[in-house]
Amino acid sequence: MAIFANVHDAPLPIERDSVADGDAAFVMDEEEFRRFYERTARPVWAYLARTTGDPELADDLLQEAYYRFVRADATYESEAHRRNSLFRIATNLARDEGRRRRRASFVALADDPANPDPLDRRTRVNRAEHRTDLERALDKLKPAERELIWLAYGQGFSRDEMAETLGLKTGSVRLMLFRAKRKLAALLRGEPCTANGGSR
Amino acid sequence: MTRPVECPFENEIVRVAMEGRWPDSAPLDLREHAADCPGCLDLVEVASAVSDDRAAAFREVDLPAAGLVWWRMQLRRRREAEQTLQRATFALQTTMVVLVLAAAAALLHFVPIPSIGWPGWLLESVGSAGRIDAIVRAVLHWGTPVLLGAVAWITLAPVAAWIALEHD
Repeated sequence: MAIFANVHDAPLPIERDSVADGDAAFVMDEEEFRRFYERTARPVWAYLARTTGDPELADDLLQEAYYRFVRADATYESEAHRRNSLFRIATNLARDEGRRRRRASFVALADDPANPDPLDRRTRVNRAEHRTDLERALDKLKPAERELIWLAYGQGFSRDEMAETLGLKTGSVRLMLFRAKRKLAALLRGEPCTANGGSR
Repeated sequence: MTRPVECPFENEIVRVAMEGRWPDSAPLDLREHAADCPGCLDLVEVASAVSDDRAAAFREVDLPAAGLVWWRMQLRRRREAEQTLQRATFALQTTMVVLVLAAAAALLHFVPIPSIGWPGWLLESVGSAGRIDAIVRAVLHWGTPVLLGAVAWITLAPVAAWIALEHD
């Protein structure tokens, strides 16, 4: 079964005519941006911080997400559609960063396995001391599972909205979310869990 | 026995948990159902933890002001527009140089200039007028392919520049 749907199946924002795009102005004006930012910045930051596990990275990705969102100069059918597009951009940025970090850590390991970056190690230890139970449990989930959990129970997204945001089929979202929820609940209760999320 | 993937009470439980009303202010029937439904037990555990963590994340984050973010985005947009313009200008300049060189080659090939005299400094540096003539003749021998190449370049360079800049 193909888990990942064709991204073109999901309704896409309508791109504006870019002919008049030569100047340095955005289609969204500052006041409109300010209102949108104040409504969405905290939820997006929380999503990025918890799915990447790195609040500092979330700061950077948040600004990049808004920049890409505004630069797209798209029009949206509704406020929910606009918000979902922002979350989709944020998700893609977090995934790209995750891939980049995995590649970088692979190269670093290959270069010098006995001497990882001491600053990075110190930062990680410091951060780990302040993590909540949920953050530690989320760390044990796959990135896609973290995204699903947070969108469903942190944002209250519907299954269709999650499918649109994550580029998945709605049926796959239901199944993956069910497994992720079972796995996370077991981790929060301190029970060992199987690969498909069930507790033993 | 396999459990259903979703329980019909799920949305209601999530809504109550996200509003921070679980368990004290949750409707009694919902609490009774959750106590007997294994899926909803997991759900309550997860949704309450995520909801609490979300509230904590909202408190801990110190976001930059919207005006500052807007200003940074304007700066970046302007810088990117300038870079795009620079690339387009460079492509245009390159095309113009090629055009001028091609025109000069065409002029030498098609227009006989018997009275052309080579400047003294050029003769000194290269050797003799005869040697320059030999070079020119050799170049002219290949003039047609060179000219065709130049025409192709003049035609294709703007297209290549357009494709390169299209996504900017």
